[in-house]
This record gives sequence, structure tokens and C-alpha cells, in this order.
Amino acid sequence: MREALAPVPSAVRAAAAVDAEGLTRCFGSGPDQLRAVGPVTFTVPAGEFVGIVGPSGCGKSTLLHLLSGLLRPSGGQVRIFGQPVQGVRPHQVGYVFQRDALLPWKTVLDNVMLPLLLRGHGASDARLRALEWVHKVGLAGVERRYPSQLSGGMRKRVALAMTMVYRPPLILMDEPFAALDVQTRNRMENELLSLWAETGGTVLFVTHDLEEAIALADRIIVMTAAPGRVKAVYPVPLPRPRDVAEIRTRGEFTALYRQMWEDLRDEVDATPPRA
Amino acid sequence: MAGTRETLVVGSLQGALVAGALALWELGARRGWFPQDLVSRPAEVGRVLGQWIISGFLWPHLAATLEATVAGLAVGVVLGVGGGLLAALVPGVGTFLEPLMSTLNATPRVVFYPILALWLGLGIASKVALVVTIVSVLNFFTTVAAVRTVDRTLVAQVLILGASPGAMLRHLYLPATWAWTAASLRTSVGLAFVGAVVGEYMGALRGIGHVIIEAQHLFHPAQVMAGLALTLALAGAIDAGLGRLAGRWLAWQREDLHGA
Amino acid sequence: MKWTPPRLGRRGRPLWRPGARAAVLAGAVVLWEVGVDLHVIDPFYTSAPSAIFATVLRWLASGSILTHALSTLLVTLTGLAASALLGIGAGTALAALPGVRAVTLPLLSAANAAPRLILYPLIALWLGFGVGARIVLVVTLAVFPVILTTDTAIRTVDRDVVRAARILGARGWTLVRHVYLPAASVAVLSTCRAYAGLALMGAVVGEYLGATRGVGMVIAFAQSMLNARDVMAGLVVLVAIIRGIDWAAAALERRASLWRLVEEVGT
Repeated sequence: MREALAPVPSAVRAAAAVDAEGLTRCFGSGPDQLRAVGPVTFTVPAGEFVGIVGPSGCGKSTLLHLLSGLLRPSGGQVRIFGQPVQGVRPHQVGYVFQRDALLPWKTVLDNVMLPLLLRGHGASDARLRALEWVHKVGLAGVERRYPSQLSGGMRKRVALAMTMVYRPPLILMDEPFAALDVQTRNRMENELLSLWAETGGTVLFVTHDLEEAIALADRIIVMTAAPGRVKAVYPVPLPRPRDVAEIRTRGEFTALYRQMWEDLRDEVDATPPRA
Repeated sequence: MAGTRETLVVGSLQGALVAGALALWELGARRGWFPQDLVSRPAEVGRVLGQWIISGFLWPHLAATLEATVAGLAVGVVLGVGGGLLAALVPGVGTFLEPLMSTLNATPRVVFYPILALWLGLGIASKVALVVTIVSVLNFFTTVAAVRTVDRTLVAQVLILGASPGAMLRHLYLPATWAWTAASLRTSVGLAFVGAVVGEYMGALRGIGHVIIEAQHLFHPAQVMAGLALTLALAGAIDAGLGRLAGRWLAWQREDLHGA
Repeated sequence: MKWTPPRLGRRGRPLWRPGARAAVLAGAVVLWEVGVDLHVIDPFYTSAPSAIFATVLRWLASGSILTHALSTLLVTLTGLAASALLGIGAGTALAALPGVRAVTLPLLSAANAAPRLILYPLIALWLGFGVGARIVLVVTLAVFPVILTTDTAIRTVDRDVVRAARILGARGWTLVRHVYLPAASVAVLSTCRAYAGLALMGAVVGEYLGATRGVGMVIAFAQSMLNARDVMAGLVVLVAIIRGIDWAAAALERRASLWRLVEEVGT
């Protein structure tokens, strides 16, 4: 059942992990100017796992770039834990990209250590904590390997370890498992849920796969076709802990899916096919 | 099995070809088929080489050439990489540096030797300068290419992890540059060595190139060939050695195994 | 991804723009001239752009440089042409005789990798200091790459094209002439263009090391007289010749590969 898009009280907004208002991003200028996304308005309370779904090209990635500070908004504003976003620093944000973002000349361990070193941790302290996380993501024994020597799934685990090792209160994920095969993807989704249960924090998970979103999230934002705006917000009252394969067999899952699919399909239909 | 046998056959045929050519040459020289004072013979070349080594004549000249090569290489790589990093990362610098480097690149640098000799004399400095002009331009362009082809996703990720510009350089751009520099090191070294020798041809007081030119002026074919054989052997050995080293430096590029 | 990584300085803009190149070079020349005028740069070492330019003009007007430029050009182009002919012949033989190829290819590759410029003293020892020696040097520089690219070009001709030609009745020489030779000649042309600079360098180095004519000789003479102005002027002439050869080679290459372009567009 949809959530009403009523204005959120300012107290709630101030405490929210993400508070976006009228967020817009355009590219180009003059008559050729293209609005990639927005105006987008939504609030994400701290500690929630929020899925963002929408048709291809609606600007989901651009939205994440705006939230992380990689891009500056053309209009509107966004605040992370009450602080307006101004460039990439000083926010405590983690980002897991769809494509590989591991430094190919560093070993698994060195990659996971990197964010800690950048934050001023000592080398031995960083190594200890990195090793802990390498074990947590199930890569014990391969910490001396280079990314080129790992499978796609293993590289994704390193990416997760790299991001979570410094415990960012907000983690942005841009279709992180899209490039994996179905079995690996299911396994990674379950692992993500258990890691998140352990570390807490807020997660914004962008995906084009509605099933994946429902299986993972507490709440789902459905975006319109490009330029993307918030079309609807659906709470996902499925119990935790979840197993992503098992949860799909439940009646409530299917009901939710049917409701959301109506909304999403209209937007997908409204999107012209890619050339 | 068939593969190794084929390699053996081909290899021995090649060996036979080279050995046969040498034998023919020696025979022809002794039989007077061609003038010995112009073409000499393998045995004589070997004798000259042996004499050079035993008498100690060779070492100072070898040292001079290698000195020029190594010094020019070191300075050239530092200037080329440094310039490339500045050009690719600092706005404005590229606009200034790139046209200069492109113009330099379009001209075979050896033709600059006369002006360098005018400025720096016939000592080692002019050779080093020549090698620097060769090596720095090559490394400038490889560095610029290395920085420009760094995956933007990587840059975004490292930024998000909290890297300052210095950290970006240290963890991202320098390692990326090193990959390209190491890969082109073979070329750099080869060009450096040849540059030093040709510079010595064009005016020097020491060095293998100088020895060869002197021998040419004094009409000693055996000495010319001995010098050339030495130079080519050295160039080949350096190239092979570097090939092995590069493989080790760039181990992280190898896709050895894929886990489950 | 529409995000661009920041420069380490200000926000990123395109790295270098066209037209900026000419402006920067012109600026460098102006700075140089001003530097000499203000006695910051010693003209003994570098001369001044104005003096160099005047010298080049004087050379052109009196025609004195023409004999030399022509000599250098002659050596370069003759050497390249000889390399092209020898290279096509040898390369075709290589492609046609796999047994010979297996044995000689590694030797040819090694020869190609070797720095052949250093062989000049031996060539001069045998052939003296004339034009012939310099042409031979250019040939040793350019022939090996031509052989190797010809071999590759012939061996990588599209099999379907060959089959189609066979079906149309082409055999032996006709096949060679209409299918293999065009493929080889495009490869040879682009190789010669790529090695034109090196060929010119070989001619110039040969002239520098002992000749009675040629731009290299002019430069060597000027250097022995400690005449920086004339050395620079000689370099200017050389660069002009290099650009000229490259331009001509590009035009030739375009004409020769027109059929390839048509083939690609037609599919």
C-alpha cells in the first residue's frame, strides 16, 4: 500500500539520514540543456534500508552522485544527517559502484585498508581491522591476491568490505550486484543483509530489479521516467531477518510486487527504448 | 610433443643459418673472395674483442656510454613523468606543455645533437642531454595517457573513501603511471642507449660510439665490427633483462586464477 | 557516467584546445626574441628567431640551401622507395613460403628490433661517404618494418574476399595483382609514412658524419664554426622537410586507401 506523499515534519527531517528537497540536476546549457533528474523530494530516516527503483535512464545514478557530493545540484538542496552536502567531504558516506572500483595494483587487504589509512589510522591498526572485515565477507585466505585474480563475486565482497570497514552511517549502492550471475547475486544479497544487520546504518540501494528491492528494503521509492521524480513510496513490512530466496515465496511479497509493478510499468512504458 | 619438436627443428635451422653464414664469411676471407682489409673475418673480430677485454681498453669506454645512458634515462623519466602528471592534473599546464612536447616528438631528437654539443661541449653532458630529450618526451606522453585512462569510477571511489589530492596522487595516479612507465621502460632504455651511442658518433671523446667512429676513420673494419657486435649484444641483453623485470613488476595485471 | 573527476587545481575544463598549440608556440618564439633583446638569453648559444628566420629566407632567396635540401630529400625518398620495393618482394615471399617464414621470421624480428642506425660507420667504411652509403643506411632502417607489415597484411587479407575473387575466376597473378598487392601496398605506404621521420634522420646523421652535400652537412659545418644561428636555421629547414614528407605521405595514403573506405562504407 502506497505511502501518502505528505510533507514531513521538520523535526523528523533534521534528524533524517537523507533529506532531499527539490533536488535537480541538469546537464549542458542554453537550448540544449537536459534535465537528468528532479525535482526530487524525499526523506530517509536513519537506520533504514531504502530501495530506489525506476526505469532505465531515469537518473537513479545521478541521484546518488548528488547525494554523495560527487555532483553539485542544479537546483534544490540535500542534507545528510542535517548537514548540507558540499562536495564529497566531510560526509561520512560510503558508495558501492556497479562497476569494479578496486585499485588493481593493490592486494585485497591493501584495498580494504585504504579508507582507514586515508582517515588517519595507523598501519597496524588498519591492517587488523581490514583483516577482520576480509574474514567477515568470507575472503579469508585470499587477502594477498590482486583483483585481477578474483572472480566477480569475490571482487564485490572486497568492495563491500572496503566500504563498510570505516562504518559510514550512510551507504549508497548503485546496482552493485547487477553484473553478477543469479546465484552469486542471491548470495551477495543475503550477505549484505547480514552485514547491515551487524553494522547498522542507513542504506540507499538503487536497482532496476523490483524483486531485489522488495526482498532487501524497508521502504521503496519508485521513480518516474526521465527526468526522474519521486512517483510513489511504498513501505515494505516484511519481517526480518530475511532470506532473499525464501522471502519471494511469501504471499505478502507477491502482493507488494503486484502493487508496485503497476506503478513501475507505467514509467517503463513511458521510457523510450535505448538506441 | 609436436610443438617442441617443431621448435627444435626451426631453432637448429636458424642456428645453422647463422653459423653457416659466419663460416662462409671466414672461409671467403681466407680464400680471398673479398678484400680482407675491407671486410675482415670473424676470427679477427673475435681477436679484437678479446684483446679489448684483456687489455682493459674497453672498460672506460663502456662505462662512459652506460653512464650517459643511465643518467639520461633517470633524468628523462623524472622530467617526463613529472611533466606528464602536471600536464594531466593541473589545469593550464597541459595547454602550455603539450604543444612543446608534440613538436619535439615530431622531430627525430638526434638532429638536436649539434645544438646540444654547441651548448654543452663534447663531454658526457651533451649525450645525457640528448638522451633526456628522447626519454622525457616518451614518458611525458605515456604518463598523460596513463592519467587520462584511469577509470573514472576508481577516481570517484577513492574520493569517497576520503582521499586528499596528495593521497589521490600516491594511491591512484602514481601507481597507474608506474604501470605505463614500467611497460614502456624497455623502449625508454633501448632508445636511451642508442641515443648515447649515436651522440658519441656525432662527437665525443670517450664511449663505445667514439671507439667505433675512430675505428672507422682509421679503416679498421675488425674493430668497427667488434664495437658494433658488442653494442648490439649489449642492447639485446638489456632488452631481454628488462622484459623479465617488467613481468614481475606488473604481476597484478596477470589474470592468474579465478576463484569460485 | 556523467560525472567528471576534478583536476587537482580548479574545476576541470578541456585539457588543451586546438589553436592553443599554435598560440603557445608563437608565444614561446616571442619570449625567446624578447629574451635575446633584453640580453637575458645569450644569442651565442641559441641565436634569435629573427636572425634565424632571416637566414632561412636568405638561403631560399639565393637558392643555396636547395642543393642541400634536395640531396637530403633524394636520399630519404630513394631509400624509402627501395625499402618499399625490396620489402614488398621479401614480405610476399615470406607470406607465400611458410617454411622459409618459420625459420627467418624470428631473425627478421630481431633485426627489426635492433638499433640499425648504429650500423652507419660500417656502411661508410665499405661504401665511403657518398650518397650511396646514406641510401643504404635508410634502406637498412626502413626495409625490415616493411617486410614484416607486408607479411602481416598479406596473411590477414579477408578470406572471404579471396574466395569471392577465386569464384570470379581469378588465379595466380591476377589474384596477387588485384587482391594481395593492394592490401600489401596500403600497409607498405603507411609503414613508409611512419618511418619517413626515421629515414630522414638516417640521411641527416649520415650527412653529419661526413658528406659534401645535404642539410646534415650544413648543420655539421655550422656547428664546427660555433655558428648557432646557422645550426638553428638548418634545423628549421629539416623540420619543414619532415612536415612536407609527412603531408605528402598522408595524401598518398588517403588516395591509396580510398577503396578501403568505400568497402567499409558500403557494408
